[in-house]
Amino acid sequence: MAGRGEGTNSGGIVPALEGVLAQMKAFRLRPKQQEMLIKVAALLLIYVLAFATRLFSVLRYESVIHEFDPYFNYRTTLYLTEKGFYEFWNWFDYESWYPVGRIIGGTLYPGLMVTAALLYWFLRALSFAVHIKDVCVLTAPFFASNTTIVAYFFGKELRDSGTGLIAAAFIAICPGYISRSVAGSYDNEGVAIFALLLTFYLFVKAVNTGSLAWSVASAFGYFYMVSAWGGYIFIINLIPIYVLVLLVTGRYSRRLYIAYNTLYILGMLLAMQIRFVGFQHVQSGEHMAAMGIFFLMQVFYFAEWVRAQLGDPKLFKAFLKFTVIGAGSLGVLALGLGLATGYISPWTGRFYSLLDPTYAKINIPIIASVSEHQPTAWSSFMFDFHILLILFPAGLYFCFKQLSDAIIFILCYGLTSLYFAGVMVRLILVATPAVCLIGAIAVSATLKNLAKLLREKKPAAVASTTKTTGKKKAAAKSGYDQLLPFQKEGAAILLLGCLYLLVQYVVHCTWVTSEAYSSPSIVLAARQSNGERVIFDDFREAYYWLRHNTPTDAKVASWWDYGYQITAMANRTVIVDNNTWNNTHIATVGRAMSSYEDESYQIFKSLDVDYVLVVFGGVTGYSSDDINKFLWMVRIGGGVFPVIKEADYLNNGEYRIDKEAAPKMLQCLMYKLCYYRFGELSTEYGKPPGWDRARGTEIGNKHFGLEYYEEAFTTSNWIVRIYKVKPLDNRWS
Amino acid sequence: MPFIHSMKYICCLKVRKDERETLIQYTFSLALMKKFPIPIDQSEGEKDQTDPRTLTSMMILNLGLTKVYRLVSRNEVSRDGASMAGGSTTSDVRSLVSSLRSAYAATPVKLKIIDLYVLYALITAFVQVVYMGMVGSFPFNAFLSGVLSCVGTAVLAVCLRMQVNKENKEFRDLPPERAFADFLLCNVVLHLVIMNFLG
Repeated sequence: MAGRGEGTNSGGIVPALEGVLAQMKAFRLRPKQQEMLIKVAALLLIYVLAFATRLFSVLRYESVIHEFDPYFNYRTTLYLTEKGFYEFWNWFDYESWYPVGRIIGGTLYPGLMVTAALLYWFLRALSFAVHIKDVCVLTAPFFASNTTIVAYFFGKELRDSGTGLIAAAFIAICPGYISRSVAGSYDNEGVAIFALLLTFYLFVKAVNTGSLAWSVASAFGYFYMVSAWGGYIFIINLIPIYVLVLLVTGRYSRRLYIAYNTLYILGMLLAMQIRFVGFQHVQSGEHMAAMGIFFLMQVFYFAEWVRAQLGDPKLFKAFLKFTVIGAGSLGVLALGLGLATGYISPWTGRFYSLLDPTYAKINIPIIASVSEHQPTAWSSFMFDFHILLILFPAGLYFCFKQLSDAIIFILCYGLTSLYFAGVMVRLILVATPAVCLIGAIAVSATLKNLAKLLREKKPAAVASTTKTTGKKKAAAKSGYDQLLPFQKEGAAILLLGCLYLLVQYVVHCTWVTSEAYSSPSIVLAARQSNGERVIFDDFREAYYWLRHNTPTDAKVASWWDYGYQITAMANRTVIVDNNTWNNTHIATVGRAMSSYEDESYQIFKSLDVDYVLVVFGGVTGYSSDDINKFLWMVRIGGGVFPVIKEADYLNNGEYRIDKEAAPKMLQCLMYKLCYYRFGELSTEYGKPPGWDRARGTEIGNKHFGLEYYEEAFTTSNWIVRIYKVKPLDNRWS
Repeated sequence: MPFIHSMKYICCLKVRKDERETLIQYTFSLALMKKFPIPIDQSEGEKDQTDPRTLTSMMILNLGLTKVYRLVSRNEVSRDGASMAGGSTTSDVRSLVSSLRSAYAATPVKLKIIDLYVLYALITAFVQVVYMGMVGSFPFNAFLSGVLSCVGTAVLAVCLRMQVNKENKEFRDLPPERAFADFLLCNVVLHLVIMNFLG
């Protein structure tokens, strides 16, 4: 599909144009109608394109749910469609976090599942016999397509419909967004970005019109966002920031009052209906900015009203002093009281780690351990935004040239989200719509200026001969233009340059989508030396083995990354999973993995564990395996149980597994389970047996037996290894 | 308190300055003679009221008060409000309230009705908060939905007031019927959610 992005676009527009020209002779379409037709056609093509480009993963692999979290979402959706909404809402899950369990209905954002279930029921009602899995796989692309439509209207609201079209085209194929919304990536973000942009669009529309109806619509958009993703915190903080900016810059208006207050009151009430969010809007520190701004708006409104009534600036000044001091001290007092009595909870660690990038590394290893929570590298900005990264500052320039309430909003959104994108890799996703919109403003403004130069040449040429053409403006313009030599040529070259950049963007996006972002990560692909593609399907092999060969009430211990997949695919109880709500529980598993065999046996027995599952990439060279994650297990375990010390696993501060490795490293459970019988295996030609291909070393401890565990199953490429925990001895020895 | 009332009355009277002073002196002595307990603000600089019944202290008080009044009236003339002493702020508030009241009298009746509605909603919210303070906030959702329904109603009514106010040029294109329909829609949404949340 390389190059088809713009290709389909222009390929679609040109015949459409010709058709329109032909029709014009027959039906005499007016220019307005032609423009409309072209716009609708382009938007339709963008809509299809956004969907189609996300189907690479299905073509390359198969229609399968990707990664980790989507498996949980899939499992809950399945439950929802089978048991109905009330069962889903009251679901207590015994199969995860054994022995604690988890209240699923009250601890998840149900928006995604409900959306997919509604789509499923709708299609079923139309008697399309679809499977729920396929609905789940295609939910994210479908919503990505809808996002392009919202982006069009947002761009239209910001500047004009040309900007809207370009923004829609940008966002349809922007890798930063595609990375989270390819077919099969059935995660909250896929729906949430649509909801986020929709909320913002409706809010801006409400601010521009001052209409209560649009404000209610934005409140519903916010509700959908809250129901879909924890990132709604961004909205509830960004909008107050925006309002504050408007207040400070003296752009307060009644339209703003209506839009913000309606959104806040109704949005807050609607959000409280989601059980996972509950009373947080009035109790948690992260939401207090919105409440403060709400009260500030009231004070501001009151002051404004009094000023309108008085008409005497001096009296008003005196009045303002009273109200400002009174309201300010009251607010500070209330906040202090709330914080002191513990009524308002302080900011959570996740929030702190957003504001201060080093916070998580020091205080919360479990957040820092996730690779998508790492600070962003420059290369990944380039990878995800490509030319948008250059267009963004240009767009900022055009924004500042033509400030309006809507433009200020997109500025606030763009600048804050870009900062957050720098703090965490995964938040590039949130910044993507803003970057696309601002980039679109730049492209649209540039193209428009250049096209104007190109088009004005003709009247200018006429003007140069006659020197007296009609309108004042055109004359002034052409008079100015005449000063530029080769103006038409220059404009044409610049236009071609722009087109070249845009084509490059399309090529880049398509390449990134097909090569980097379409991997489901439960099916791995690699290229052999002769160029042939090999598929490693070890994960599913292992999970199906568990499903068919273990007792139904067996408990499987693994590192938390694989919890969701085990419950969803193997249908077995797990100790910890990707919903990292109980740090102690995870630390217990981390401790067991990093202890000696006998100690870990006691821990696992106390947790009733029957099987232990490890992921090992030494044979295939799969690098995100448990040995590479092992230091995080040590850190998280050591954070709760001080018995585990990171230094014991390092040799002079270096993490290694060869002969130089720390003795405890070579004897701990994780090492033993991963490298059991590995010393007998030669993995690569010309290397000694026991050569670890993921780390490129020969392992340090080759020949050892297992006393408390026995190997139950190892997949064909050794990626997943499952061990059975032996029963207790019959007699104490 | 009749004394304060008479003071206010004198202040509002359009008389010459010296006339006003004599009037005030007269009222003071009258008040003291009738043995009213004189409600003097501490901030007005008079702390010496240990024995107001003796004639001498009466006279001193009388003179002092007149002086204070002179100060106040001078400030009123210069109207250089907030930065002055405590006496000037009270007068500011007084003039503020009076001018606000006169300005508000010109508001159309429809808007006044909306204002009453807002006031009523806010008072209801306040009563609920006070009640919560006495009884406790145990069914927190019930408390929240009660207060938020009042606050929401008030805010929506304020929005309606902005939109139907003819002085607001921003909403000239918006017919009042449309504004009212929007207002009803918002209220329906608000109260449906509230009903769901009430528990």
